[in-house]
Amino acid sequence: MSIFTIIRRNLLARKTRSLLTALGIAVGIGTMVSLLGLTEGYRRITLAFTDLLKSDLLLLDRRIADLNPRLIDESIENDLQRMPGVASIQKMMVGVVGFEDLPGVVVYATDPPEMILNFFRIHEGGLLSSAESPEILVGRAVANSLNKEVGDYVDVEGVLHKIVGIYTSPFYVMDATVVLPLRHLQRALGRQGKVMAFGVGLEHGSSISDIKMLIERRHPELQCMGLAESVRKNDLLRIAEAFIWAISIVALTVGGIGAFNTMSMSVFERTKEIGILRSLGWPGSRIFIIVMTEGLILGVIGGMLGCVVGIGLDHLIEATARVRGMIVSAFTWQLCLKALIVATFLGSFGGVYPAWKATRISPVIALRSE
Amino acid sequence: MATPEIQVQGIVKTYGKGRVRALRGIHLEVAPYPDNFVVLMGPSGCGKSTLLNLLGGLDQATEGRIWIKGQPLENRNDLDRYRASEIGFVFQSFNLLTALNALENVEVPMLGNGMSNKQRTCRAQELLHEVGLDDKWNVSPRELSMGEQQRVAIARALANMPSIILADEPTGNLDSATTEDVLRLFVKLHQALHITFLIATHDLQVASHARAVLYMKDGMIVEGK
Repeated sequence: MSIFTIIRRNLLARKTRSLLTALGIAVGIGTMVSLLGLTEGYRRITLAFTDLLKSDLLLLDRRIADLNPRLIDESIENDLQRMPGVASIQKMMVGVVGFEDLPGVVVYATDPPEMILNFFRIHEGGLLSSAESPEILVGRAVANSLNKEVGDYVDVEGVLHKIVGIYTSPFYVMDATVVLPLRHLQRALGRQGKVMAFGVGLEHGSSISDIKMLIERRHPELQCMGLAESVRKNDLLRIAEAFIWAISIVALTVGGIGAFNTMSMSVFERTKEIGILRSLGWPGSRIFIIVMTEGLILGVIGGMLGCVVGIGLDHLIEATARVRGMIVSAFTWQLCLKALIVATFLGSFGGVYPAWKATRISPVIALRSE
Repeated sequence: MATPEIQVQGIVKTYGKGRVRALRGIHLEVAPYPDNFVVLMGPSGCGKSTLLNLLGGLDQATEGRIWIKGQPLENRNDLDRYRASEIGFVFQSFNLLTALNALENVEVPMLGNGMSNKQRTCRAQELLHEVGLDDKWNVSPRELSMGEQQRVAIARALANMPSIILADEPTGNLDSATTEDVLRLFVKLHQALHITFLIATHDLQVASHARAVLYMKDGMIVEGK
């Protein structure tokens, strides 16, 4: 028999108490994992939107932060293409257009048209054949609303467009959009020769910062962001992350206090046992190690349970009709590892004070307790 | 003259800032073998357990001095080690750890004393054999009779070969036949190992086995024979 036998026996002899302690930690960790999973999902959606351009640089009008941002003149494309290190240029336009019985539908347009494949999955039919042809791709939700299929026509601003494809997206909201050729969207919005953003693909080995400087010097009206920077500058993401971290801290505090309370109660219940061990000549340090190790083990078990609870909870949330398709969670092994580390810390922290207190109990008083 | 096993001089123990005086100046001397089988008698609350706790290093005296085999107890800063190696406690309520079986309970005091796992287990098996519990090694204390539990507790008290056994009402929860069994075991161990026994009790049956009986009342030793 070793000290670890005693630890194992202690944990197994009081199964309910051990389980409740682990569950107390699991609730805190589960909440944290669930919230961080949702944040990660949100971050991935944002990244996916940005990734739509498959570019290294994103060019936007500097007044994009204004409520009425200006669009960018399409003519600068030639200048961009001539810049050293630039490999490709993509153009993107987004607007809201009413057609058929739908009062306002978000419409995307990209040039080249296949860029749209970066984000949507063609469910039926194919892609737009060019930036000029009177064709349209519709999201599954739009197709259902209009009761249209591939090969049918829809009237957009007086021009009949043939539905050449129906797409789906992992995000329900994106199913309620359509994709038009760039020229047609510009015409529909009355913004011929304008685009909302340029994507710039760089040649391998080119310096992003050099090209960024060059573009901003030649076109001071443009805001030029690297892909990572554009994500970092996403205020909504940053606010959401800060908010969810704040909630996670609350969840952890609640979980931590719960774990601490449970561990304290567990030591309190074992006062007599501690008195017996002291009367047998056990030093306080050995009792401290036992109580701490028990806390640590319960922390790890609670952490693993918490990961399962958190992931399960998010799957449940995703399946709820109210949020289905709009909220997506994502889990990484790093997130689970983080949760396990926090849970281990919580278990130890929950055990430190009770363990210290256990070593301070007078053996005589401890032996008298029941 | 041989050094007394235990010597106590003017021990006072008060609680609650002096309001409760549990011991009021105890003087006591326990002679070496064969006179070191001593019974402390007296009504409940007379201070027997308090005295045993002080002798066992579980508590500290307010006044007075204690010597164990001529060494002053108050000078020891390793009371854990003292309890582990020189003292064996036997309690009225046995105080066994219910999460462990009989064998493991006996092994507990030996953890951390430098013995290997195998040595500890062998020693615990020998001790359980000594107290007549050969067939109960793997049994939980909950499944043992009260007499058997006390035997496990005695085996545990002997684990580190202590020179003194302090027994606080060791037969308080036992019927008279089991009490006699336990007392015979105490006497056997005393004679075989020359261990000092200091037994607090108010049971006359226990006193009949003693070499010396001390009577306590209101925190003082009032009579001895």
